[in-house]
Amino acid sequence: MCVWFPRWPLQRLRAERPGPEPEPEQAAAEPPFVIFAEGRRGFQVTVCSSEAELWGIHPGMPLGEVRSLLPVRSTAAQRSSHRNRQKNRVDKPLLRPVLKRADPVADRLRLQELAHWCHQYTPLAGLEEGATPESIWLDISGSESLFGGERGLAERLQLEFARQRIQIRVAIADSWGAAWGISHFGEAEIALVPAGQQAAWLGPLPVAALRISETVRESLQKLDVVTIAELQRLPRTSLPSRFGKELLSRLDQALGGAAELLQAERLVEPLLTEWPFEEPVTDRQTLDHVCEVLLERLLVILEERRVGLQELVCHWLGSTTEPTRLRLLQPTTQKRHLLELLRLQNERRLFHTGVHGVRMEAVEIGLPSIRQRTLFADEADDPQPQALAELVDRLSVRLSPQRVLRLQLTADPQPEFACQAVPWLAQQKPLELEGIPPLSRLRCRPSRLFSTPQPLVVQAFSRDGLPRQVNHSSVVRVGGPERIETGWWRGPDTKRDYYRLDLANGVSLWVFVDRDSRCWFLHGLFT
Amino acid sequence: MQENELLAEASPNPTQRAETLHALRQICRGTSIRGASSRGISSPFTTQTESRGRLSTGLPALDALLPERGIEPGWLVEWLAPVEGCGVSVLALQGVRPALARQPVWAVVDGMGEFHPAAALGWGISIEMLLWLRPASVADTAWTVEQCLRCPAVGVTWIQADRLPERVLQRWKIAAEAGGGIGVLFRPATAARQASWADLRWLVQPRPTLAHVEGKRIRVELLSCRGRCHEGGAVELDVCDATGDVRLVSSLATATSPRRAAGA
Repeated sequence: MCVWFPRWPLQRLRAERPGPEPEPEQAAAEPPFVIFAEGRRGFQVTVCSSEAELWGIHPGMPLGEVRSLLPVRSTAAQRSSHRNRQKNRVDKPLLRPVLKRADPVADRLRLQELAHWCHQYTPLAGLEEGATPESIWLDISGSESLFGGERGLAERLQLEFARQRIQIRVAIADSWGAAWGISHFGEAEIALVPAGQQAAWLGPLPVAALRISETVRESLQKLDVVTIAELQRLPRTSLPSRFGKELLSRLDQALGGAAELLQAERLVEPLLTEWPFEEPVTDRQTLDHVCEVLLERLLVILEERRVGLQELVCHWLGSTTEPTRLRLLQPTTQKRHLLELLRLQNERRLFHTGVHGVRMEAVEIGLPSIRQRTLFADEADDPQPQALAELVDRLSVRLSPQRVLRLQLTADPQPEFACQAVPWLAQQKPLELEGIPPLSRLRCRPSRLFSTPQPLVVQAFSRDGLPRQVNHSSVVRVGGPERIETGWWRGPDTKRDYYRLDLANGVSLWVFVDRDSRCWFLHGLFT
Repeated sequence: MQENELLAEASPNPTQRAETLHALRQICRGTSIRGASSRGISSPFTTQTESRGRLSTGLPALDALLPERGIEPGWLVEWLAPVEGCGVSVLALQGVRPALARQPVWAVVDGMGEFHPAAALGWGISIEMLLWLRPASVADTAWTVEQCLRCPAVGVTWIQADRLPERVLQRWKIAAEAGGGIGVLFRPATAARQASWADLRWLVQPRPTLAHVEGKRIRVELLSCRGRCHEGGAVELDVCDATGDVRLVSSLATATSPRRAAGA
């Protein structure tokens, strides 16, 4: 079964609005809604209500164009429109559309909640694949009889969602692909496809009902292939070479000829342990001891599941103190290490008010790294990966993750952007060496680079305009220039000529002259 | 009596047993550098210094000044320079690669946030396992360095330490011995007059730059080294970033007197 929520972001926003269901008259007077997101060409409309379509707004339209369609609002204009409205109340004035930025995360989370809610009808329910899902699939094999058959179940679902102010379209078919296509492009709000009949039902539907990409759709359109029936008339063997593997795979999935992997939503049981106090406690030793006990209990649960702790939160119940949060580089079950981190975090924490209880929760778990031991291996054999992980955890707890970083060179020619710092606790990315200058050029870069270039006081210039005396030391040798012109997309164009100045006192500076202002700056030192 | 001796021979003491097991482990690894060297097989990546458990400074000229021709794991190495920007870090970078071959992590403690890895990459040091740490206070810096030195995964801990209390250096020394990595400290030349817990101290003096000589000339003096009386050894090195060469400046032969030269 496919349950489609047409214009889902819009429906979610309207359903989340507090208050009772608006009367039909009020609903008609609702302002048009436009939801936009950042696309390839700036902000673009992703979803708009039917009221907004009266303004000529449609999905894909740039936001600038939407704004140009709206009347310019000035105080005088507002007054005159108000007067007009007062004069002829018969005319329904077009309400100004409400523009709202898309929130795909919230949309997905709400949809996941609904999928969990659907577990009352079937144990297997999940979201459609894709970045912005709008449908839920339900495997109702065997459970439909409990609700008066397929129609009974579909009608009940429709009624329950209507109570939540959510409008749906339902299709039940042998395959998920067919149910998706028929729910999105079929005529009926509830479509029940008899077993083995999906080919006949899908035939008159447009090819978009096969969940194919826009490129393939456009290619088919050029050949005047509009419906699935027309597509089926084309030689099957020629489809992959002409339109890619996706088309044939989608067609087979819709017709039930190919299997499709669907990921079900499952309720996750929270992993937590709690210790309530009879009276509020501020004694640090007591809290440390309770933390140790709770951690032991939590680790017992985790060991039963053969998983390790990746992120841990310790809530101080009834207190204004912020929860203690631990994020680890790799999942672990080592009590010693976790306790050390907890103490390191807690020793800087102030408990102004008494703590009524402690709740420890495993927010994220994962498989701990297990290495196969070699013949004659002892405990001290290669302890480095674990030692490094523990060091990174300790440093991140004490200094904060933003101060424990790994460095990656980027292909940006502007020196201050040529290096990117990423927290060690963030997802590891492989080092990209594409576009990195050759080693000989890298060696000529300074080992100390100022984040902001400092103005350089040049005491004397040579005839060709280069510094002859800097910092009361004469310049013995000038290397360069290395011209860097870049960064137009960041703001004003960066135009610099870089030089290496070797001073008589043995110091080497990396300086540049700004080609617009002709000012000299010190950017680095060859320490 | 004879029986007891035989029994003693048959069951070696625990130390011998541990040594035998250790040797067996080395043979099992087979391809490991240590295993190979213990069997007298020389690896192209192993210098004479490394094969004896010591680490090279990366510069044979500096190795020659040291008593065992290398530095021991767990040492603190001080580089004293009179002025910043004289190229001392290029010399210190040469020793990073041999140390990272044993323990792969390079910790750079840089409160200012001005370390630039391009030069290190240019000198052939991988920055994949670089741990760039930016402590916000002096106390955090001291703690961070100690943690890094104590960690067995960290091969080199790199720090610019301008002013340090003696006890901090002492703690670092103990931590380095526990972790087995190398601590590389950059300090001003004025610190040469102070006592230090560092095992090895180099004093760097930039030589006047010559317009016709490519690169930079630096004099490196051995101030003190653990296990060696002060003999005042010093070398002059030419460092060329463009070609990636660090060469010993060839010293000229003692000038003979004109009379002797003339065969008189």
